Amino acid sequence: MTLKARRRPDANAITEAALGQKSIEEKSQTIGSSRGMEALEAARRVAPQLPPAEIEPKDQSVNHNMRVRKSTLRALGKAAAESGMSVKQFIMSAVAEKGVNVAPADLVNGSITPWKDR
Amino acid sequence: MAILTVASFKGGPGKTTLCQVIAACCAKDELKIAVIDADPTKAMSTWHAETYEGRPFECFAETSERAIADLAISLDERCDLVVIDTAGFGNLAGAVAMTVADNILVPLTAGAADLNQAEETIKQAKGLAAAARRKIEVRAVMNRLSLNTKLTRHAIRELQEAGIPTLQSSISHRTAFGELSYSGILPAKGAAAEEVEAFIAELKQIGWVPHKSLHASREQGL
Repeated sequence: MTLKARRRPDANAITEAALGQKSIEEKSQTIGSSRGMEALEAARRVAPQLPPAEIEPKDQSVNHNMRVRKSTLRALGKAAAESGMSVKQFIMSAVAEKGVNVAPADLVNGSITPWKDR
Repeated sequence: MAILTVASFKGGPGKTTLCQVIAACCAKDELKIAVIDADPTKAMSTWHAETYEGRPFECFAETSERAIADLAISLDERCDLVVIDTAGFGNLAGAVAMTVADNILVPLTAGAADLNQAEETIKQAKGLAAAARRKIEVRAVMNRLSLNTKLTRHAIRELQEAGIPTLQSSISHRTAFGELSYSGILPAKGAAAEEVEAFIAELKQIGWVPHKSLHASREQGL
């Protein structure tokens, strides 16, 4: 009988999870059968104090500051206005086109999208 | 055909080891079995994917209380047995897994904390069954026992006095069960193999594990 070596956790995965950069995949789809719904309702009713087994980390917004020349900022503002976008939306759309995985919330025009809809 | 949830709101009584034993034995007996790993540590599903070497069975990692019942029910429709391994702490996915189950197995060691927690888990299972208006059978099983010790005899007496329905068979504290987690191979001979055989035979005798595969017969047109 061969005893196999344990798989070592990947350091990058641990760091991503710790920083909340890695979301938990929902592997199976919720079908919504009545027995399934009843089971969830019964569990919530009998044990309302129980927490979820795992909490999905929130994709929180953070500040990102970048120093640029005034001329660059002016050019960015002008180009964004011509495209009908905010500066942030303009930059984010450009980097998304380059293949960066930009969160959908960062691709909306914050200046015209009501806060509750962002 | 049946959903068997292995539950205890305490870590360490050997839920995952029992799930590994049940799944590997059922697969060996050519039953169509699926396991849901509802423990965020993913010990069962990682073992299944990376270590297990026996006849194949399906294993899904699912910790969402919204998805687990539906996954169990959909697997139940096409499997002889669905086993759910739960996390060793009170959580909603575990409670849903107990509510959707036909049978709940509560492993416990001989320690007082395990007995207390087993009693709590069984109480909760009864409450969930009443709330869901379903008949859910619950049994405890003694695990990691040191045989012929005063402690084991005392724990068995405590279980009887508490009126906790308990399987006759038990699993001892043996190196072979620790090796299972690294080798992916069920103990094939010796006392550990005999204990596994008796444990599965009792689960079959009380109807928690089917004797033969109905799904395999149907697929073969028998």
